[in-house]
Amino acid sequence: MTSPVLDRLVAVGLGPVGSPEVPGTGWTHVWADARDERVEALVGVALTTGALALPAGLEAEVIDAWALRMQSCVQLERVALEAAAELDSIGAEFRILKGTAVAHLDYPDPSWRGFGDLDLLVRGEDYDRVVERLCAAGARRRSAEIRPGFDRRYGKGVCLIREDGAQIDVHRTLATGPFGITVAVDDLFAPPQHFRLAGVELPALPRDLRFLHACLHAVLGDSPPRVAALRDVVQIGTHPDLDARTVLRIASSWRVGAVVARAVEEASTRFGVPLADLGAWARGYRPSRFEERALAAYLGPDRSYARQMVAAVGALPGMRAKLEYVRTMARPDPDYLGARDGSYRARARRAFASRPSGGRRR
Amino acid sequence: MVTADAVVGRSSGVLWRTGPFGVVLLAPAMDRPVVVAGSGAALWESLVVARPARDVVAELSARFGVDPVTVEHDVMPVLEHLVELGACEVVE
Repeated sequence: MTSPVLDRLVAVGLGPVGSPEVPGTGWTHVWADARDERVEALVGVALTTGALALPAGLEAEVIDAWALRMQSCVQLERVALEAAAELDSIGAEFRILKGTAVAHLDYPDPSWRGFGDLDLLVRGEDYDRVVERLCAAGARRRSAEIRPGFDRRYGKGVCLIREDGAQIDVHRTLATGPFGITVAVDDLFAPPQHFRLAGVELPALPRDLRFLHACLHAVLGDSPPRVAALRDVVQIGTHPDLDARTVLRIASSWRVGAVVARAVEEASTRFGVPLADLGAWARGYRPSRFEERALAAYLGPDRSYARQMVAAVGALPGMRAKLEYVRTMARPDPDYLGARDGSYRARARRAFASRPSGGRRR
Repeated sequence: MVTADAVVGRSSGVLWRTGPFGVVLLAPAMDRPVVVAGSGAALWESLVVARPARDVVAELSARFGVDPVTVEHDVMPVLEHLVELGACEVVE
């Protein structure tokens, strides 16, 4: 959890500027958190709009770090253009997700939103050949697949590392585990909203889906949520063109109401910014039994990838699909096992043992 | 050599950010981004539409209330540098 001072700095632009923050001796920790959370740009904006007051030497440090982050961002945008050309060349439809898209479509200026990797969404049926193509262009998988075809069918995606160190996350869906399965992936290829990079139009999710993705990423991506992810929730959630009814209809069909409600509540509280209709809805939301159980796999000290993968069983429709999934999980590929030094089965056993009450079988 | 009569604009393939740090630029021919500090951001903003270098100088002179000769002395080398980097191009 970041400090209240950093939360107030990250809230810059969401309301009127009051008296400036003067962090004093605590600044070292605030700034370390800001860098860890990749929000140097928002702290820079706070500094230049009078929401933060620092001695001259520290001001220069913030501005320099902001410039460095922006250099990294334009390099990642070049990676995005190169990846887009690769995907176009094999006729694979895609969407640019998260920071790269949000910076251009949702913030007052792209210089406000830093990011550290490129996120691409592709269709499950294109997934393997997209990964193959990007690897042929010089990227390598950061981790092996549980079994060939597992990611395409059940996984969130894969992290690829290029020779220059740039990271490309190829997504098939928006989350690991049960909520990654309940997301209707065909919905994600609704007509895109485009943004322009170096004269090239790139497709992103439309605003309602960007908002839902921001909520999923904030609540399911890290526990506690990262401050930049929560800022995205408020940034997109307060846009006057966001259609709350559409958001809630899709959230219900994806069975992610509890995730959206939690994201809205957490983001509103952290930044002191109400999200109008969505805020009222979130306060009164009662999660289903499925949502409660699924959410437990992502939160708190017992959170783990293995636990999320085990919890995914409950999201699969029908006994045949559940059995097939469990069989796949129980027979991982030797390459996958080899990379884990025998820890896979121990983690899987622990994950099954820690399933929420009601999910345990004798 | 960029002359005062040369019409200069941003190259279409350039990626960029502006802020108090100046302007961060990454043109297709560049291996890594550069930061043009100082008046770089204001110069970049003035190049949103291709125009003669002398008009750029006049605009910046009026905007900052500085003598045009001084502005020309500061800006022309930067403009020249941006063209060399491929971030800007002389269009006619």
